[in-house]
Amino acid sequence: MKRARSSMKKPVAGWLFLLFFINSLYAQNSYFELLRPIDRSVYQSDFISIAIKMKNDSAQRLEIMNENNEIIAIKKVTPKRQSYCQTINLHYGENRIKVTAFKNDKELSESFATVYYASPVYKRFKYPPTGFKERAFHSAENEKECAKCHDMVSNEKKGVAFEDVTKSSCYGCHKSITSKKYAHAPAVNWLCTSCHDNSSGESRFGYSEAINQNCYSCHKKKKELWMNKRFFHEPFDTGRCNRCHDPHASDDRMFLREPVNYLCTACHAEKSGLAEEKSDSVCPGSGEPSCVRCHDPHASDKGFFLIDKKRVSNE
Amino acid sequence: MKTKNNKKKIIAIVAGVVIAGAIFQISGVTERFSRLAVITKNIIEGISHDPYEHKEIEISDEELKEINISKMAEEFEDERKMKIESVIKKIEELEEALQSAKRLKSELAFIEQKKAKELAALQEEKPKHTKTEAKIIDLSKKRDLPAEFKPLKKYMHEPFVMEACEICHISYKSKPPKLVTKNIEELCYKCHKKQDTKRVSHKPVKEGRCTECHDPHQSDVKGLIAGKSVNGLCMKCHDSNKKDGVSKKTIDMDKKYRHKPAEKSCDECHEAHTSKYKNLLRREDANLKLCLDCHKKLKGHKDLKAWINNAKFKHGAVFDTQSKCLECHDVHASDHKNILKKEQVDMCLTCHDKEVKATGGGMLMNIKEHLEEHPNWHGPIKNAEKEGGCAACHDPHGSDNFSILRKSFTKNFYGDFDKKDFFCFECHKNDKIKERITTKTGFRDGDVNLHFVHVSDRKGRTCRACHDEHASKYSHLIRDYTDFTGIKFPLRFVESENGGSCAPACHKKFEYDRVIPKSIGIKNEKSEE
Repeated sequence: MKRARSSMKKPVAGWLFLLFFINSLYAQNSYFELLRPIDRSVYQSDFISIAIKMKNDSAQRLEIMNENNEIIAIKKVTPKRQSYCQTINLHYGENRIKVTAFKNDKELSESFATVYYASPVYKRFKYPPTGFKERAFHSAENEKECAKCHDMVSNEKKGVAFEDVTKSSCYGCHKSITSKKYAHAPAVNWLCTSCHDNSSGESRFGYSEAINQNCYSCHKKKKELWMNKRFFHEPFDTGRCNRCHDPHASDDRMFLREPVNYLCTACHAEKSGLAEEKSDSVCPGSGEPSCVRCHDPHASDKGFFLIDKKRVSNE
Repeated sequence: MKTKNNKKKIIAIVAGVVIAGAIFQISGVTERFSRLAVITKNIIEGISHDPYEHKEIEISDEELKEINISKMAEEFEDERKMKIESVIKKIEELEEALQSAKRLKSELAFIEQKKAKELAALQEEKPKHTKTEAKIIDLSKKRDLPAEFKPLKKYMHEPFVMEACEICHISYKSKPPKLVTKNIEELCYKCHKKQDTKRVSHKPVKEGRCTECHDPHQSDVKGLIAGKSVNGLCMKCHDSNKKDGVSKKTIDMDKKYRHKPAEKSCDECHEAHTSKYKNLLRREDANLKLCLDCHKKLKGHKDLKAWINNAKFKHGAVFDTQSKCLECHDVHASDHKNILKKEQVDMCLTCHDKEVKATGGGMLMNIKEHLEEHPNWHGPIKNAEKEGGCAACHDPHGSDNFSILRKSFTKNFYGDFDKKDFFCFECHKNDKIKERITTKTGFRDGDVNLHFVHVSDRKGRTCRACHDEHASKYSHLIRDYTDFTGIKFPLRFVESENGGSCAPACHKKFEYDRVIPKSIGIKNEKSEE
């Protein structure tokens, strides 16, 4: 709310708000209210929670659909239950979510929300269109609503991982974050607050923009290794390890957000396909042709972040 | 003109001198002449008188009759006798005077002696009897000793040896013989220096009950101890087994393990009379002096003094406490090995029943709680008596290794197995760790040694990554939590009939089976780095 008010100062934002208000007036129906996502929100993760508040008991069924009118989830409405949640996956870019209430297969009313899943990697999806903005979910107001069903207080014991991770109060809503091939130990042990320590101040569980200090608390040797180098790769230099690595889980090794070559060429688009073209004899090391067989994406003593041969042989 | 006058003067002087000389000459000559005249006169007389001319003395008979020689003789004799008598008389008189003088002198000496004695008594001067004097006296000639003093004992009180009974006793008629004074303290301190001079004094000393501990005549124990031995004497009052023990400070020597000096003689450590230090100790115990002055030179011991003071990691119990050694040891006797106050593990847990500040900084875990919560204990703790308890791995007197470990152990989580110092293998065989394929260990998938998998490569892990060296709720001392960069990650160990599974932070849940291998392989996918 605070953010909304502050944005009112700007005339454009004010118009937008009016637009949104009018839109919400139209969208408003007497059967249910789409609490989350708020229209034109930006998300950094590939899943979001949809929260619906029922206004009366007339609806029997809720259908959640994407922009292609494909049903993602169906929620059965039980009388006297007010709130319903559903976690759905997103794809990069704009996602249009439609929630429809039915009674005996008869459409009662529908609500829409458009959200944007921004990629920290791909330029195409890096910058959401105007009007879209990030909204911190774990605000006091939201939590009040959720707390009816969910434990909104972190039950994490500082420095001690859960014996049974399902006992973590975060797990219930966020479990899909680790449902990938490789999971990062702090994430899979649900030590969320070791990074989500509210250091940015936006949300209760915000994290630092420059996350590297959190990373180095475990990866001490890597810090030592790279910090003594001459040249630093920009994401590394600015301390944003999470631009390339997903600190929770990934299907790729080293928790990379994308397969390594895609990851590099997301920024260095002009080098696209170059690694694959190079024959095996050119690349030192072994394995598939890849950027990181010649370049160290973190730091190097050599130009072009070329890998020190000694280190290659040691590996 | 002048010269003419001078000449006349000189001539006059010369003439004067010549004239004087002449007169002198002449007078000498006259003397000679007079002597010559006398001589010549004598010669002439001599010539004129006959030298052989006899001149007869004429004595008449009457005159002869008058001369009574005998009478004269008698007279002479009387006179002589008279003279002798008078001399003798004089001598006698002198002798008498001398004797009286002597008597007077002795009387005077006696008086003086008496006076001196009185003075001495007044000034409380010590009667003079010396050790050398005592030695000179031939004991074989002792005759009239009362039967109770026979046979004579090894050590005797000097006045007793010198038969100077009167130093203490006035009369022997009564029994016990009457003493000079009823105040024994006063009596003893006549000769002996005061004993209750320092800060802490033994109660009998303070109260002047010297004869309670000392026999005033003789004893077989040095120091005229009134008993068969020093300890026997002390234990009269200080034995906790005696119901009517006089002292509040009692000890029980009737135990399995006894401190040698305490067994030998109490006065090895305690002063009998007075001391600057608490409990009448001979030396200050607070600075570890008393105990360690012996324990630095004992054979078969390391130099504990240097050890305790120089150890890099010091044990607070011995270094920082007031009671130092006595914090854990009972210096007299104990039923527990190494004269510990309690059974060794219990002893350690009296302090380590809470989080304790380490001397090197940081906190030490509450090991008591840990042991209570985790039923499976490490062998040395379980069989403390046999395997050494806590002290099997920790040196309670301090060590150069962290956690006062007896030998060094790696602090790192990762490291090369070969380079690491693994204290564990002092007891455990390491071939079940080092062999790639083996059936010696239960931690294997088929016969692939999973111990080897965990410790072998560049990022080989220390034993403590998975095993808790103290106690665990799992079997094989598998940890509940492993500490990685300050965060405790659970191992989530589940044991099955022929194997088990782990789901630590290091990797996903992996299973192993000794009979039907799960072939998780040597190279695991790691979730963490």
